[in-house]
Amino acid sequence: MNPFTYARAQDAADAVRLGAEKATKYLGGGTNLVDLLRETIEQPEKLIDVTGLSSDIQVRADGSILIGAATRNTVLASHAAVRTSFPALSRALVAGASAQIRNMATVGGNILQRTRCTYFYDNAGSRCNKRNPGQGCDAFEGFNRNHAILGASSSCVATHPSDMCVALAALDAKVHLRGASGERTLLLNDLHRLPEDHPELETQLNSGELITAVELPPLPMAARSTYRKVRDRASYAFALVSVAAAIELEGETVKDVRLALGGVAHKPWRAWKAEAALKGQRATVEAFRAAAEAELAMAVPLHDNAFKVELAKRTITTVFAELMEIES
Amino acid sequence: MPITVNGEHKDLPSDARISLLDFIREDLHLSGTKKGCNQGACGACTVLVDGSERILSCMALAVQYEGRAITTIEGLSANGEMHPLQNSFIEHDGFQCGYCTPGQICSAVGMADELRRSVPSYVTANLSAGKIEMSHDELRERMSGNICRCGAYNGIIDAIAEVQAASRAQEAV
Amino acid sequence: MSVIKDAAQAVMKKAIEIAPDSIMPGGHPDPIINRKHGLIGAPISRIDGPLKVQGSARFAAEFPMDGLLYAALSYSTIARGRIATLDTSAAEAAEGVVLVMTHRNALRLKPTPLFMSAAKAAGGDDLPVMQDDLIHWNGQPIAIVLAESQEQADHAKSLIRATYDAEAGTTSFAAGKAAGLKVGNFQGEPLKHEIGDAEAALAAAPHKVDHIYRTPRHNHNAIELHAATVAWQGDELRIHDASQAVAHMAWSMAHIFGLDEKKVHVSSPYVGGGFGGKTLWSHHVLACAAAKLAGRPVRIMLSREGVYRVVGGRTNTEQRVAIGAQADGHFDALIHTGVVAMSAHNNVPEPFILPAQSAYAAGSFKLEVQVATLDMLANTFMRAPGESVGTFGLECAVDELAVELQMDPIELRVRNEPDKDPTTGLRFSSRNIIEAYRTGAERFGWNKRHLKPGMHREGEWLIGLGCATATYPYYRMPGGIARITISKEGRVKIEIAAHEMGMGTSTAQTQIAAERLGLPIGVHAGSNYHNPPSSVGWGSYHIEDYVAQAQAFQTQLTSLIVEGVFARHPKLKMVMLESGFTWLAPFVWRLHKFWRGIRMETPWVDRPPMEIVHSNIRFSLQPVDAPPDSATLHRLFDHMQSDELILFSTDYPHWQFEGDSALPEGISDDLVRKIMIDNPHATYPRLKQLAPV
Repeated sequence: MNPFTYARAQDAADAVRLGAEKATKYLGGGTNLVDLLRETIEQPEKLIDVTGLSSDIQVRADGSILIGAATRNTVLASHAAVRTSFPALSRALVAGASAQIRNMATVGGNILQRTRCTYFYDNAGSRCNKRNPGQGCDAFEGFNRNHAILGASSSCVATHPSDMCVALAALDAKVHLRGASGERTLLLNDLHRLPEDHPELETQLNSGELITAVELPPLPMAARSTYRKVRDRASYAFALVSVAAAIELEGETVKDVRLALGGVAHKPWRAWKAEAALKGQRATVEAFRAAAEAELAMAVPLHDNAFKVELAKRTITTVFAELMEIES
Repeated sequence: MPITVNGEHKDLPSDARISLLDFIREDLHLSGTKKGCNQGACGACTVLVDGSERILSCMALAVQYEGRAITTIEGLSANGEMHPLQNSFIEHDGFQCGYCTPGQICSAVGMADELRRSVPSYVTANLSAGKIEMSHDELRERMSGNICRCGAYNGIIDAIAEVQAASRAQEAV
Repeated sequence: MSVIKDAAQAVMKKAIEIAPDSIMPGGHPDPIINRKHGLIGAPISRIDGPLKVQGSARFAAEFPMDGLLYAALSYSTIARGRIATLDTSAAEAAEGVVLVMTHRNALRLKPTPLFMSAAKAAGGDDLPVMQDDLIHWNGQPIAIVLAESQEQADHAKSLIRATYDAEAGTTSFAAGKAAGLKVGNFQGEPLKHEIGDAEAALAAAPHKVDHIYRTPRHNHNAIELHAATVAWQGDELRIHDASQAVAHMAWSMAHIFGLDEKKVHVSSPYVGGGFGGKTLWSHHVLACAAAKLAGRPVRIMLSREGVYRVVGGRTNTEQRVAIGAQADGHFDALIHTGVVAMSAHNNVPEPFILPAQSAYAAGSFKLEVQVATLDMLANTFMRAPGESVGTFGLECAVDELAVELQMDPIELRVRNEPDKDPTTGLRFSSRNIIEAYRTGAERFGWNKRHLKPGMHREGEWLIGLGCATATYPYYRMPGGIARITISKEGRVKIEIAAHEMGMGTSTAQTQIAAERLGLPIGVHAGSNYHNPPSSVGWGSYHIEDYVAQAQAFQTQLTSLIVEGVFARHPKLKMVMLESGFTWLAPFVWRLHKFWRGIRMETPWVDRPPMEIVHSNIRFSLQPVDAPPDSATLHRLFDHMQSDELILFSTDYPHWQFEGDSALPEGISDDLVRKIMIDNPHATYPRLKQLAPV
């Protein structure tokens, strides 16, 4: 790591003031950033520890939940209101990493974690447009089993590794931001960017902008939601494909539905097409499968990851069937 | 504010880059906590914060833990008496080379506390239930952050399960 | 370019054949081979357990030294060529840096001696380390940085800039194959056996399979990162290492550095996993060379990335297995051939034909491992070299042939069971694989197995049932030395250069030594941390605790006898230390009486408990929990109905008797002689060889 100074922010205003200096980065649990510092992929001159900022979880009367960005993953996953009203989020959180890492990781840090693409990480030996714009992408024709099938470009085929974000994307979560020019709110779905020809730009954040909170809008149907992660090992591995889903029925018809995919794109993938295909349909395994087909129709498999296309379709179908408690 | 390690106050290093792991091993010469990967993938560096919260010391910067209390494997035995988990690991042969062992034991202490607080896991069937139903699958999932390359997993599970069962029996009393 | 000297080949071959045992004419079998009921196989907890669970077992990077410097390595990013420019100026100027060593200023060293090129050579390859600008593999270290802290060393290493004159290297397996193949050599033997004309027999066989099986590269990934703490004292070199071969390391490092072997001290009491990979690699050489130049001790611990760059693993393999068989399953032809990758400076071609050499009888054999030469890191021994990947190919082919023949896969194996080694003709000293298959089949419910795969489903899972033969070689190497010291107190110390990587060597060797020397096991009370010593739980006062220990011994005694320990190990001797003995007689009467009444419950207790105590269990004299008068005490001795039970002790330094005499008053001279001489001699036979008292 290059030498850096360390400061603890007292509150959000203090953090943003410190964050306005050049070459600074906000430090949460450190479970991704410390790794990137060691690999010299990130080289800030100052770290601003924001773990002392708000870690409150406020459940409001309308059922919405406001979560301080310094809340640790384990704490959020264990919260009674999250477990009962937004189980997909709780399950997504505990699907991630290991217990030790979940104890350390903050919600804000989880959102901003960076890809684990091995070429991104191979600072000394591989070409990466994210690390060095214009350098090229060795993953595109390299070993790309873990890479994207949706929304990628020839500049970058990396995936976003977070589980929590997939659930947040499905639940229409909002992120509260604070920067030098004030406060604003974005949908999480709009925070992360697709790579296009600028994979080095991963989010819509302005320089020095800080995530202060995540908000779950009221969504009664989310009480019937879940998260499923498919990976090479039973635990402690990144998703090949993951699914966050919620469903609400009126009789036998789908009244409302939420679906997001992980492991398939540069950002958590909200499956708008599948949702549109399912609304108003009879809730059958065939309908779920057809919706999955609609969503994955645009999938572009790479040399090593074509299996993800079928895997995503099957996982979507199985998850909805499970939510409905029917055999798939 | 100093950092407390196994009950003793220690000055933090001036270099902010030093991990909690390297601080413990190289500055404090407590070599019980191990470096297996230095990138958060193996769990051999697991220590306990404020008594019972398990974290990976390789991913923690020492300066972040100013004012906190850290317990390492050396701090688990008290007055010459070993922790029940340490005895259980010996009895059930829960190790071979012994390098992952301190991390496994500290992690198991942390796991026990998470169970008491009903923290869910990926295999917890009923999220809304008050208490976690302990099972073989729950134990394996909750310990999945600790790798053993010698393959002593069966002994590790038996050792932890025995202590888990004994402490639940005591709580029921 | 062959790297094996013919003479060394002959040495290795002969060495492996040495060690006559019970089946060789004129051999002297080891006397403990057939002892069934001793300490061998007894379930003893690892003796290093308490150290390991408390984190007190010291590994290579954990020996403190004054003035220690920390090392970081920089690695080549090309596979073949030369270093063109190497700018270390920023690294040298960085804070805390004491030395940057490259090929330009490195200590002059001899090339590494390759494994098996000499009796104690331990090198993965035969290359000189950092002596020139040549690059041989992607990942070869090109610089070592020494600094006051690890962070400073790692940061400085990231400032090193190298450019290369790259040559067209061979890094793809396909290109290596196309460039030409050689037959591999493993431990002095060519990996090639032909018996009869297997290709012709295969072509003529009525049933056959012929498939290619591929296995990828493997890395040992021991959880302890390769590390060493090294220090020079004049021309003596001390290395605290993580090693599977300390004697080899010492000799090899002496060779590289031009030292007298006796001046290189390598120790490795604990290894955090070796699996074949903890031998001599370039980081050892670099750390020692840099330490010499810097004049300070060095700690080097490879990062996980560094392990992949510096420590060899198992090469990939591409195996052809073809079996030609009759309708009844008998093999007419067994062909196991293929290609592995290896560098030009290495001699470990993965010997995947080893299992096929011994596994099955066949009318003809063609076995061969060929090598494609690549610009890569050296291969080394890795978790069952040859056996693991070789059995994969062979056993898959046997299973596929079983499908072809519509035959049960176990039955097919049984039909081809050889009665002597199929390729050498040697007798088997023992071979029980068929019995293992039969027993396994019964226990796993093999008779419920579907012949067609994919038939059994449980929820989301398809469940299958299969089998395979695993093989593992047993080699005996010459040159092992042990130093055994027996003290007049009757303690034995055995010093050997073996390795405790977790396989339990220190415990198993202790058991073997104890069995061989006929040593008893002593049980002493104390450290009550696990179970309370009495049925009312933990005592509140020392007197409760101490007195209660007698109960603990009583229940131990009962448990040992009733659970059948002495039936299984009739020659095992146990000595109860500081247990007291005056409780013994009535306790054993009670145990004996109930055994007589309800012994059908414990049929394995094949002798009366009283007899077991008399023959197998002894007690230390102190503490004598005696009645006030010596006559009563003497009667207690009578009650024990044996004068062979008590061994002299004082319990020094905290004796529990009044006055100076450990011997209570009023004991007859005969009994004194028993307690002080005869009984100890009988219990600790080695004492007899000492000068008489």
